[in-house]
Amino acid sequence: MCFQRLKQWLKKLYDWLTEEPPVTNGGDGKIPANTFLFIEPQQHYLEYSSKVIHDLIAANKNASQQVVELIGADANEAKIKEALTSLNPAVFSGTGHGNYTTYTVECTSPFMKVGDPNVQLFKGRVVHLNSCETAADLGPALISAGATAYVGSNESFWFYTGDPANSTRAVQSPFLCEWQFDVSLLQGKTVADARADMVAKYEEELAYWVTGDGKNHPDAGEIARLININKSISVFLGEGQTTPSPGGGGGGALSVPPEVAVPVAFGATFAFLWMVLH
Amino acid sequence: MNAAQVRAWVEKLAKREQDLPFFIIDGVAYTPKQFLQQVLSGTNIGTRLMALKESGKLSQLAGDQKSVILLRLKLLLQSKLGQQKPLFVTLVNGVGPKAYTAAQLLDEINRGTPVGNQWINNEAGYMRKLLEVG
Repeated sequence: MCFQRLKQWLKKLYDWLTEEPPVTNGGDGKIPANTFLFIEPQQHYLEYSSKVIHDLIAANKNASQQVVELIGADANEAKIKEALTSLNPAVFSGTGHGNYTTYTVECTSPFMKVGDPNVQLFKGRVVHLNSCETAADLGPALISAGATAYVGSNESFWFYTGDPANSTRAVQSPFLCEWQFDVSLLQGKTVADARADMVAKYEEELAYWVTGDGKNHPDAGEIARLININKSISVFLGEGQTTPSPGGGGGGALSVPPEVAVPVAFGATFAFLWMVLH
Repeated sequence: MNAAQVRAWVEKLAKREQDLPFFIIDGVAYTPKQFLQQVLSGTNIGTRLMALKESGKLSQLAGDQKSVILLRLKLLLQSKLGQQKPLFVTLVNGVGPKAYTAAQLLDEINRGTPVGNQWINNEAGYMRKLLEVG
């Protein structure tokens, strides 16, 4: 009796440790969870955004996630398409200059625009474009093409360049708001919760510049206003119940390989038996 | 609403915001600091300004607001008009500029371009946010 219960408990522990993370529930169902592709061009002021997300990724990713960052010159069409095929990411996030129909990458080189085949590459993925105006036409086109969700801006996204990129809260602040969506996805939250966190981060940063410790910074008034603009033009489209990275944040399935899970399970059993016998 | 509440509201605002025109009564704009002075002096204007704030309004007439918004943005940016370095940048990809000095941004605002209108349209909502601070 006791042995049977122990056996069941052991099996449950093993299953929990080795459980395969589920796939995202959009698209063809073959997109692996816990996969992220970040596009981080540097030129034309884009380092102001890219350096912030680069640091946030380092601080928030974990071992169960596959994260690819295409930085600077690597943020080009060929490498992005290659990564979309090889990594097949559940989440695609990029910064870049944009307009109603087009998202561009390094050197303002167009990567996708409404009507071209690249839009079809995002079926089943969560897409975040930190770019101007793409929520007007490109975002809806991505959703029509089968993207699970899209976050972007429907007018000009503003930021402050009074200090070198990523060197002060003043220059980071607009991007801390915007990239909170991705931070929360890396932490294992649903798309809807990540969006709610993003909106909350906007309020938090606004409070810092309006009434908080930042309010008497020489450019606080302008920074607060541009954050308020960015918040008001932020758009979410699509479905929010997906959890692209259920292994994020250390919760749920750990996806530990069997060579680790087996010794852990046996060790736990041995400790349990030792406690029972003593 | 009383003088202590008005003072608390004014003091919560950044120093620069305290000196920007905010409420309008009888065609005259009052900064938060001037609002407090009127209240402390016990004037009729002070009483009317408190009523305006309590009602969540910025002016008696909707049409008054546009001129105050333009004045606020001008005053906000004017101390930086000599700076040559772009301070404000967008992620737009188009024929127009991406980066603006304070003078260039003010010019966009004065000309009512799409970029300038973003700041103009934002200002009323931003002022309401300031109104809710206290």
